[in-house]
Amino acid sequence: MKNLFLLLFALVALVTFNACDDDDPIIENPEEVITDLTYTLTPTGGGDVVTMTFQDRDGDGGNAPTITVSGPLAANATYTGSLELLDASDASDIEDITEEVEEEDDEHMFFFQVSSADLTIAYGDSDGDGNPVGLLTDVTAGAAGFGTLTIILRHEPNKSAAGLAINTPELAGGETDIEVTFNVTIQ
Amino acid sequence: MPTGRFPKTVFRFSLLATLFLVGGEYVAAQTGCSFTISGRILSEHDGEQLGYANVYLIDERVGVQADSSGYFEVNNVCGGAQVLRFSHIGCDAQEIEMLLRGDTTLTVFLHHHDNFTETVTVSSAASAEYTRELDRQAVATLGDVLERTAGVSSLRSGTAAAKPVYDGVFGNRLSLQNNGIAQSGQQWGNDHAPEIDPWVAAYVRVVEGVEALKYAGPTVAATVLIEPAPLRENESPSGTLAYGFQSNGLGNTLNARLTAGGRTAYRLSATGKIRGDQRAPDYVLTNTGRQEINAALQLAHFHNQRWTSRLYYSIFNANIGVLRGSHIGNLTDLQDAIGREEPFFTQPDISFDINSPRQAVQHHLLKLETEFRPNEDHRLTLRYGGQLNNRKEFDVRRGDRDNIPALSLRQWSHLVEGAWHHELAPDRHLDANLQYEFVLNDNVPGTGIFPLIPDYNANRASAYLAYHEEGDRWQYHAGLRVDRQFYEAITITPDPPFRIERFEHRFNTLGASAEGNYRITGRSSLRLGVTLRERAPQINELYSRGLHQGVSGIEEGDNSLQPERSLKVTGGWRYASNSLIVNASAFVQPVRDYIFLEPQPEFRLTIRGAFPLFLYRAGDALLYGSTLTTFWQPNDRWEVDGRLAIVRGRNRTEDSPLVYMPADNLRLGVKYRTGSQPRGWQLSLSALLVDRQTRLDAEQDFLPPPPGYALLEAGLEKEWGLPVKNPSAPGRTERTLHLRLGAQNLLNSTYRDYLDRQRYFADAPGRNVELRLSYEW
Repeated sequence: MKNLFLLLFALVALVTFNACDDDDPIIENPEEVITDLTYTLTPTGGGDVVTMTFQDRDGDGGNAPTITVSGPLAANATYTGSLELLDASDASDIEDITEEVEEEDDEHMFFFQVSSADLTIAYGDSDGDGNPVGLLTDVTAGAAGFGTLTIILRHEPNKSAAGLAINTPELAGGETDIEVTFNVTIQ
Repeated sequence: MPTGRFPKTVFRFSLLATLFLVGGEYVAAQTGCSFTISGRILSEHDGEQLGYANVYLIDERVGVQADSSGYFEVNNVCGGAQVLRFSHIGCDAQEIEMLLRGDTTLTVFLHHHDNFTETVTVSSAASAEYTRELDRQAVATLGDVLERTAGVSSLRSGTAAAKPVYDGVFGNRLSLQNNGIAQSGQQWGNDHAPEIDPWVAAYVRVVEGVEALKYAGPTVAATVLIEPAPLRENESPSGTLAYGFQSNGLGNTLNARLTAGGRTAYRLSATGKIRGDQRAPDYVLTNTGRQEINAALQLAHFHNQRWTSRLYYSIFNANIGVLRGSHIGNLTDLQDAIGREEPFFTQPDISFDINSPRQAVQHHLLKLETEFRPNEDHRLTLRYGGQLNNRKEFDVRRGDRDNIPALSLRQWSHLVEGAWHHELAPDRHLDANLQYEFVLNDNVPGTGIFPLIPDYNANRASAYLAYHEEGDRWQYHAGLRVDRQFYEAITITPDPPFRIERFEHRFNTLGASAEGNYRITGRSSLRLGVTLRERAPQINELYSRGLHQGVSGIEEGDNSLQPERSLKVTGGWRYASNSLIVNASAFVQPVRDYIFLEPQPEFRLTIRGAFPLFLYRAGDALLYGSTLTTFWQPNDRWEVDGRLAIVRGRNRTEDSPLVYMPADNLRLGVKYRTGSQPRGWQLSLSALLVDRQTRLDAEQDFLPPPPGYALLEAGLEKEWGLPVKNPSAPGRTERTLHLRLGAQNLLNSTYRDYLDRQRYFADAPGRNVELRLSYEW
């Protein structure tokens, strides 16, 4: 019995001193991060392309994100909107997250909320089940004015929730992966 | 509920102890009725004297009462077979059969009654709950069991985790000792339940003051002790096989225990548990299942009368589902989730599947101890405690990453302790220890997420000395503890290019406590205690950085924080007659440099929206409150108990209430036994009344505290003795079958508790009917 205890003490000592590795931790390569969102509005009847960009390459915290809008939308014009998502946290290895969303389009849905401005947005695409995704949209600018546009990406939403519309993410549930707001000018 | 029957192992021990201690003079020629039976009645757990216990000679119909020190004497007893019955309020009665042939001296150990828990006394012999009580509840989790101690509430994350709150402190401020070793792991997280199997724990106590100074771990006053039943050399082989069924969640629990005495005594315990989704009165709580597989081995080797070695090893494995509807991405999601009829993702039927979000936890504890008693006045103990904690938390993630943990932590901890107990005189003793602890905490790479808590190494050396004097009228206790801690945090810079930075911290902390107890009369006593304790900031307070998923806030540590200094003054009055115990106590506890999370006025903008930012800061806090415990046993059949706990906390720096203070709560219970103590039916009914927490400013929470609620609980219990092959054999084995039917939330009330973080998303579970069947041999 005594030997057993001695043995156990020895074992413990071994474990104790082996466990003392003091190496530097491995810096994670964040995989799921989205750093860049670009909403490109291409006018259907010709004119200037409008791009809205949200960029936060150092992730949460650190430097504040940069939000840019290339210019105003033309009044009474229609646009085709397309979204592009990037993970550019590692500048030498930029990943296209749009593809990841396309692959899992049944688990993702974008929502567009407009306030003040006379802007109408409709889904222009659908997933395998015929439900909207929102990577492609049809945008109609109305009268001149100012306002904001909030683009929301929900992961695992309930796409069959009753009364679900392009501006009602609260009915869909799921987790918000993206929620960014741009200033919109129509002139 | 107590069955009246004395738990068997203890019964055996007591009986044997009795036989060993039968001394006195054998006057062989003496006949007739002139013998004297005398002795002392002590508490089985801590050897405390049980004053005013009753002794009854069943055949002679003679009864006496012990004096305040538990001493009794019955004169003029006839020789021959006698059955003595010993009882004491708050203890299970015990019967001893003996063949009386001379004057006899006995030492009788009685066991603290199940449901009744004494509040913390000065010597902190304290709130012991015995195995049977824990067994009754073991189908539940440890948190639920702890809640039955006066002043203890639970901070919950739905059904997934519960942490004790005592006198308004929890988490980093209330340490847990599992089998004498500070429970390591990720105790900073409010959604991290202590990794302990309730089937193994036999005693659960809360100690404070001088007694709490003995133990390692961050604490500002009290410590929760969780201990298995001790092993004794004279233990006869026994076993228990227990099965429990829970209607809410269709839970099944199986536990088996084997015990044997001898020079090498052992106890082996194994538990398996599987439970599906639980149900609130109106809907299923989707993804709240739980699976557990635990085992423990307890070994004691009695080398000789002076030397004992013990080994304890336990493994805890759990896979815990977290309510799917409580997983949120940002503040908007939280606001969407609040105020819904039923949570998002609610499924119509319960399921045994556990999907993300979930926690997978594994905890190993190895304890080695050797105790040497060179003579009656000294006891030396050398102890090693090693723990390995693996915690993996899985979130709902994009791109098939659900099976890659979002948080994966591995912690090794080692504690070496030398302890010395020295009896200076029969009523005075010294206690001292030296400890060294080493903790190595690593983030296991591969999560693809920057860690919330950095890797760190922590070292702590400490010394403790206490003096106890237990006179007849006055009792004094005084203790001192010093800790020297060294942390090395290995962090990653917040901005690219990411680099590794190492930070070192050294903290010296002091603990000092003095307590006194004065016996006014034989039955009532007053006590007063003053405890100063310093608590070094923990790693999450210094270095956490990132999004705290459950609360949708970004939390950032402050590495310039200094130790908290707390002064706790407690006072109490206790009255104990042989049918009534009243315990009233109050405390006030100012804390300097109290560390708290301060909400910042500006939000932090991220691609997932804006998040509130919380920074760890130090300020001044004040906690105060009181508890009232009463226990009344008008006769053998009825028992009534009541426990009231009130606690208040204020952050004086911000002039705001402290968050997570338990609301005022009252627990009332009544119990009735049919027929004679050992084998009757037992009925119990208890109610828990919890008030609304009104002391909270609107801006301190996303949702105002829920209204108060009342819950009803009922139990029905019976025990059957099974025929034994050879009843007259020495060390006769007794076989019993124990049945218990219980119901929690009997009225299926819909409620939410303020201390439950899941209250934003869903109601608490509804009615649960429990069946427990155990066979003991």
